[in-house]
Amino acid sequence: MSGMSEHTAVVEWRRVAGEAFVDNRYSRRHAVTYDAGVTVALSASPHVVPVPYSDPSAVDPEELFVTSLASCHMLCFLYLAAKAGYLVDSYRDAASGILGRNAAGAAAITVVTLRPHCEFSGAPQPSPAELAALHDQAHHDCFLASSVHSEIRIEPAL
Amino acid sequence: MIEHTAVVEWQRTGGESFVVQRYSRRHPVSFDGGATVALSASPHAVATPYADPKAVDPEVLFVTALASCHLLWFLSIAASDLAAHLLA
Repeated sequence: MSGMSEHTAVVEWRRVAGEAFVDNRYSRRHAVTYDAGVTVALSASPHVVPVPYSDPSAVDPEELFVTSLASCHMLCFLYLAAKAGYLVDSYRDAASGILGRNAAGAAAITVVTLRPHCEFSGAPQPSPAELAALHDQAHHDCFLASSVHSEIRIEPAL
Repeated sequence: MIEHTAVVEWQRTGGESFVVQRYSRRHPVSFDGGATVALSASPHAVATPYADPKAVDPEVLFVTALASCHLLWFLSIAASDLAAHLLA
């Protein structure tokens, strides 16, 4: 990729009529809208703020962070696999991130673990070592991985 | 420690020339609360129709994670500052 591109999102929250706010009992539900017209309901995680002030059916920012890294890694991986001549049929990553404390004692997503599982068809197919090399290169190329301090572990499932 | 999870999936659709980079970059993500969002490479990065301009790209998800986290902290600090002001 060359040059710069700008990616925009509009995040909005409104106090629900009647909520005092000052008592911390306010809905953490908010929405993000993208320029293509997609809207996604967001909330603080129920691990962080109790229900009903958080909404367990909405997406939390930690999950968005993990998803951005998993999605970027996958797109880089597919590009490299195609370039190497491997025909990928499917890719699935049950990714996770740990919200803990960093070395400075601040709350942070300290570790993100990607667990990519790919299915290939035809020939050639990558050996486990070639698969690991593709993931190493995808990690190196992933511009979102380069944007964060979190440790990123890649544990390919064979 | 709290674990936050997301499942990202992609399937090749038939008849595409995968090895010459002609494949749909569209892929869904599913969250444990039940939400699903259609994702894709950005049309800034991959030409349409292989990128889907109606889907969400990872760059903008990253921006959203930061904007949402900032919003939640801002509200929390504003609420406690208001409480301190009212008690003073």
